Amino acid sequence: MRRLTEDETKEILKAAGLPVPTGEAVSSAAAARTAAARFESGSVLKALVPTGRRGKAGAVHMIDAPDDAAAATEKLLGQIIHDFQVDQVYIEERVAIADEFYLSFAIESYPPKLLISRQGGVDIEDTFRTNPEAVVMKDIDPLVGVTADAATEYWREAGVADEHLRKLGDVTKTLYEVFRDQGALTLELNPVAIDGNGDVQLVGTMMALEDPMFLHTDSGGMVSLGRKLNERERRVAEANINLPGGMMRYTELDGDIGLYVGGGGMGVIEHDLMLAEGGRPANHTDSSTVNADKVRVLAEAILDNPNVRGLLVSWHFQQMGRIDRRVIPVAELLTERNVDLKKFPVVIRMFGPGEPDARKVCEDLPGIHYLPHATPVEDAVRLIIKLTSELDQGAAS
Amino acid sequence: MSILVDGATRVLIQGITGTQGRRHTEFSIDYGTNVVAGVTPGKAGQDVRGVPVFDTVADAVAETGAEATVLYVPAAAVPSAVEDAVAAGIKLIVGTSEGISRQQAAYFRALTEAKGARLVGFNTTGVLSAGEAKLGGIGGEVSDFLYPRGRIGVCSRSGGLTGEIGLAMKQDGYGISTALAMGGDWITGTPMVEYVRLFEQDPDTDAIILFGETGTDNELEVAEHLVANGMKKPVIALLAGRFQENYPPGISFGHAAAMIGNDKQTISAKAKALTDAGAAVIATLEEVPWRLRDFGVRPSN
Repeated sequence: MRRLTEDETKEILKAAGLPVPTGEAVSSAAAARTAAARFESGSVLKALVPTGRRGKAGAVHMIDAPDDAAAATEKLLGQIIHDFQVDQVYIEERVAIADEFYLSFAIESYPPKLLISRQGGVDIEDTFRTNPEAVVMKDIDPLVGVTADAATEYWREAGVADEHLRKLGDVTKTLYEVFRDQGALTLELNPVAIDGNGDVQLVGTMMALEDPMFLHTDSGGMVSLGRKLNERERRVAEANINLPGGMMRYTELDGDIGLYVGGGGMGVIEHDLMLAEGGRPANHTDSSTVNADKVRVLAEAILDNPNVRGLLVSWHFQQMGRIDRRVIPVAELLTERNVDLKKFPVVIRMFGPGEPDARKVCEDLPGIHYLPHATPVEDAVRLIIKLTSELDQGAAS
Repeated sequence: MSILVDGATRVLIQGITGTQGRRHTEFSIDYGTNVVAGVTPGKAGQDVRGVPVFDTVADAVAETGAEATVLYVPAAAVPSAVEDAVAAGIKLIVGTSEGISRQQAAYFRALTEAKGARLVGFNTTGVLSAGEAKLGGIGGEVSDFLYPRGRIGVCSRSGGLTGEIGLAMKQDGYGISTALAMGGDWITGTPMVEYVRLFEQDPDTDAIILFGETGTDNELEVAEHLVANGMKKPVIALLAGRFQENYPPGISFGHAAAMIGNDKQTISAKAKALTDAGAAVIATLEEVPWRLRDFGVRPSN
């Protein structure tokens, strides 16, 4: 998932002809002062981080004088708001809000859903808790979309006054089209405001796009465990974006057994089993790549982790993908680095097309444990745990 | 004997002249699949291993009576490929592409449901009915080794696990009726519970093995179905991803959808729901034949 910042979302909405307040993103106090001076009727200044609940975090300021904008910017830059560092602030014209509502679209499972509430400007979770009947939730049929007529009915159902219904209906229809065409997972408008002229203004906007191939490093889709990626994780994430040929991911954990596992399900089974049997993974990986350069970046990251003391190379039995392209880069790296396989155990369970070539290369690595064809996966996990724990006994004696 | 596909099913390959389409078509024919036609616009009149190529799905269906299709088209051509197949009256579509967005997947599901067609995938390796036919790359060069013939149905969210489950059963004499990968995406054309229903109705399937993951409601829907209708055949669910509960929600370690969206989508919650519904929940492959024996399912080989 890739959460957009407010300026990015509003740019997209504006391009679709939707009503958003005029604003700009700036990265210094001086630029904030200049920007604020443009808005004679006052402005709103917000930390430009891709997260909601900024008001509660003290990251939203009402600005009446340009100097206030400079001071607020000075204060916000460099702060951490909900895990994101503030590098820019967003300043926009202040809308005179006569009334405000809530609207969102989301696609988690099938079908996509639309949520409307009469109560805008508050968290929808709070409305659900305190006033659930104020929330209208509707399934969206992807073959029909959200027509202006249907949306008008939904707003009426939510208890919105007649005079606003048609304008809200039209805006809702267009917003759904943006949500769909951008490949968004969520689009939240909170508040949807009615301004002093009785016109709709999309004041609060949040959009998250899907990232099915994990091509963005700084978003929720890239595993970060609530922390910034470390140097090794960043290398893998960047190679995932920059090199062709399938997807790969790498997440460091606090154990000592390196996992070069892949193929969605199998790596997860192995990780579960390792924990159940008392082993501690140094990382998790998932990858579908057979690009040798990409495989090498991943293998280097696993071996560069200072905590790693053993390695399990084990995918599901390949039916189509060639395993030599995955095993050989690892074997080459172990050779180049003169890894002593007595002190750094490596267990390989890789079967399928290309297996003879993969085995041949591993024959040059004395001490490597390339398991016999079709050995159960449980044996591979148990063996690497055993070999790694024997290192401790060796060190103790 | 099987669900979805058997040796008589008349199969179309969309994108048959591409590298992947051609390679998988050859494996499928070698396996015994009744591949009757291929489609690549602009290449009508050519053939791939004797299979005639047509410009449009409509032509292919009119000439050959194709009833199922496998898509090996580039990502940008996927929407048209699905629409063309549905419009031509194809009833089973196997979507192999990875990286299909949720918005697109929702559209494909709505479209196929509205037209009475079934979509397997996307992001699937396919469907294999042992000794009969296969749709998609499933089995590849090692179909007979990983999918011995038998009477156990397999539905997996991971393509790799269909083969590993076959391998795990084989030593104990169990084999496959049909094995299929439903796709690891958030939204698939067909949910897991639909495949369970098909296996329940198949006279040649004695037990059902599922591979489930963190995220999505697929396994919970199966549990609800078993509670509401009773467990008609033994269900064994191999569930992976307990370790993800040690980390914050919203993180995917495996398939894009293998992520804890809410606290009902954890492995613990799914294991409880399925266990309460009478299914056997396991965490390792070695337990597959043990649980089949516990249920009194007899090996077929």
